[in-house]
Amino acid sequence: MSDAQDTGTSAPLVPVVKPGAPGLPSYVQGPLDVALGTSVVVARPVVGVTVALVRAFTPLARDTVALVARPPLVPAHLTPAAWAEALAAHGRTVRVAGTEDLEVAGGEALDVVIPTVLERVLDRIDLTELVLQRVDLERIVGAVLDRMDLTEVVLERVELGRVINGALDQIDLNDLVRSRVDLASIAEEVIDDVDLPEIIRDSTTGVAGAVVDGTRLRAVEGDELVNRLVDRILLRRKARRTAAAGASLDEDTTLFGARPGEYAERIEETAQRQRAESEREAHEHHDVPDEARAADDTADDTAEGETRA
Amino acid sequence: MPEHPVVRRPDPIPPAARPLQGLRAGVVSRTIAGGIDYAIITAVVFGTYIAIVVVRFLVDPRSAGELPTVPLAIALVYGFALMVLYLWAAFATTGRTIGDRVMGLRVVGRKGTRMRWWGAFVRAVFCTAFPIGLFWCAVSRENRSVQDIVLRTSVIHHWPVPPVVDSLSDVDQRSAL
Repeated sequence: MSDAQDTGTSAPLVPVVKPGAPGLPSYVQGPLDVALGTSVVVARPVVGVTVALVRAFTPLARDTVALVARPPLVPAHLTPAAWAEALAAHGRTVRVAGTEDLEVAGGEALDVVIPTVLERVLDRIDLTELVLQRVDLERIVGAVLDRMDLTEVVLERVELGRVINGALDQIDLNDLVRSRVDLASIAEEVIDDVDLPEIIRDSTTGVAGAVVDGTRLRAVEGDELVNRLVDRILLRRKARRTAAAGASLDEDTTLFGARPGEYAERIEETAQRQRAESEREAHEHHDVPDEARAADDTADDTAEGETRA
Repeated sequence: MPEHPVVRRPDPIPPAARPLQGLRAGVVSRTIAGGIDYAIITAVVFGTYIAIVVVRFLVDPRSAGELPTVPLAIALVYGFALMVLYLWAAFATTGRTIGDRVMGLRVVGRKGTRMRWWGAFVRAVFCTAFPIGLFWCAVSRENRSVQDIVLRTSVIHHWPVPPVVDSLSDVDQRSAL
């Protein structure tokens, strides 16, 4: 009943019963109180004496009543007790019959009384506050939600189109998206997924461009074939160092469009990789004397140092 | 707006060729490029001869029956000079002859940058006088021809990028103007 109070989380209790009609006027209350006091003072000894007398005479009275009710030497059906029982049986019959009538009459009376009383009671109390204080609303709501499918109810009863339109009317969706959504990263992701640069490249490279690209790539394959062949004939173990470290691909910026700094790093990486690869291979085969290899590397490094300078 | 906005450029170079950029080219690519250049110079030499014939005919129509004879030495010297001029201009300006441009090659100097005028001239003369030196790049461990070794130059893969594609990546900059 008082779960809300037990939890201790509810708001401080406020009186929920509204004050009713004013009491008796003071000029009546004074004499009334005096009269009541007097009665109590007088009545208390009288009641005490009476109780003592009753206690004293009760056993005697009980025996006397028993003797009168069933006097000796009198046939049982002629005793006062028998008469009393006969009267009681008759009275019981009447009472049972009367009770039913009384219930009917009582029901009618309740129909009249309860609405009136209830109305008065409800006038006197703040029912909302009472419910808030005394009822565990969370439990009730929880139970209700357990029983019903809220989604289904919303879908059935709520005009979602109007709700959404109303919400959209009130907010600036563009502004919201701009402030809340990381458009740049999404765009980047999409571009990564669809490989947009490749699509643009394909669409801007004509058939002639494709032929030229193919020719160049086939020539490069030819280069590699010849290189491998020559390296094999010369019993060369170390890989070629073809990266022109320090070569700038940004130079013809003004003539053929800018591609600033895109490959410089890559060329350096390739040069380092080739150097490492070549050293590793030489190390594996041991076909070059250490001194010669060291001198070779030093010469290469010097050359590269110069090109960087 | 940052000074250099990060714009994803559509790379006009196909993925297979991207790792090649900046590497020294091999003998096959360079021979094809050189062949194209030789074809161009030869065409110009023959074109000059035809032009001479036409001019001669216009000046003297009676000479139509016989073709003029040009001494081979003069033709060779003319071709040599033409080749030197052509290569000199190409090496010193863009680093690409027409053949290099077709094959996506570029000649760079000692520091990996464009050659100087005098260096370009020496290389042009060297290449014209000793074309066979090109084939040393098949043997060289660094893909360098004789001219490259002597003058410390390199011929690298550097595919030319059409400017129209590049302008696509400048949309932001253009719209900011």
